[in-house]
Amino acid sequence: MKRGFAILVSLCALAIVAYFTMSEWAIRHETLTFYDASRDNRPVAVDIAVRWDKEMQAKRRHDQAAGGGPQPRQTLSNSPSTLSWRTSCMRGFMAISIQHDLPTDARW
Amino acid sequence: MHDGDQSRRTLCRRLPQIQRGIANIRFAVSEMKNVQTQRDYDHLTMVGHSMGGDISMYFAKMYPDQIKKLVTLDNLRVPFMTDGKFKILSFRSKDPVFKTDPGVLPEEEVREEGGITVVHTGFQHNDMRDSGPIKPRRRSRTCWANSSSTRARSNQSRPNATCTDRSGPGRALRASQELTSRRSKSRSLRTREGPALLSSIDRPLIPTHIRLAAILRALMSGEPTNPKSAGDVTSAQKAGSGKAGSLPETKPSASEDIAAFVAKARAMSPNTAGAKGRLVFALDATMSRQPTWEYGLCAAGGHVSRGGSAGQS
Repeated sequence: MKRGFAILVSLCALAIVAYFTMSEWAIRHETLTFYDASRDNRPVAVDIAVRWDKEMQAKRRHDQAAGGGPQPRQTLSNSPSTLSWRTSCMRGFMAISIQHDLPTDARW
Repeated sequence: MHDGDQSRRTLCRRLPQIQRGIANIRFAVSEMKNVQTQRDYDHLTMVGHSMGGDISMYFAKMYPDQIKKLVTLDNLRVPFMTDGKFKILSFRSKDPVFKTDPGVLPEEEVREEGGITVVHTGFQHNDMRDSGPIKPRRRSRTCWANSSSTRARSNQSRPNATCTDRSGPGRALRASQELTSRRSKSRSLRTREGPALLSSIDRPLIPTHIRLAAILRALMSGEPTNPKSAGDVTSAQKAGSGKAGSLPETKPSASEDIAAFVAKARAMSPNTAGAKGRLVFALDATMSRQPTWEYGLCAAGGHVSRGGSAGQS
């Protein structure tokens, strides 16, 4: 009984560690700001999330790895650790989220 | 006014913002090609909620060859592409305020031909945000905005406003958002921060992210996740949402009711006879989405619109 319980707890702990490894620690987050010269140097902030191993794999192979998935972000805060980000990254996608609005933009 | 005219007018008003979003995407992708070189930027999978979904759909219309798959969460304005060049998965809300414009969703038979999968959920529009439903904040911090840009604009329009300012239409907005959040809380089993969009589709005991992953996997492997039928989905929603109940139906007020209300307001006015009283309407962001409000803005020449909606979706 005790042994079974210990095995169950160990498996649960292992699953939790594996989940966090895949969804949090194995994902590299980066925020870049590009400036569009054709639009008065408009800043376009881009959040990028990609799995380390997939990135390494893509660099090593020098071929086209998983497709990029820009997620047009309209008004969300600047945190890339949301659900669809994690899900996409865990599946090996490079997730790109673009901040479209600037404080100076006209309201619709 | 005809519904189609209204939706076209609304879309026209938002077209500059959609085009700006498309320009942002194209620019970001062109820059990303220099940063992350070993990627396939010619076959994009796009995911967007609300206006983000509209931007995605419009981008897909303009550059269909660059799209591999498209996932939208309750986009309301831009009609779907039906030529079947890529697969589309769309989750729809059941929201009494945020309603899909007529003509956006194609007919059932057109969907099948065009590779479009539509999943009707029982959730509200803002529950589908990528960061999850809007949660009520503590009373001490009453400045509510969906984003830094919205907050900045709000402060621009009211330069003296601070985050502890409790007056003005923001209060109505907050009340509405708190109500929305409370409703959604009673409806769904949520993870810490994920959207609750899938909680009513099948068994609610399965964590939301696992279901989302399953649907994304099905989408990305080329197998669209087809609901068995609209009836099945509806019954599954009922089973999933349990005792949450449905939202109350609203009906438009008759002109007699409005006249009675104004007369009552006049009678309650502390002003003396002959003095001019003031009637103040407080409109929150969700109200600004109503077609009548849009029509009123257009009829007024658009100059009112800058002070109209305080929030975004």
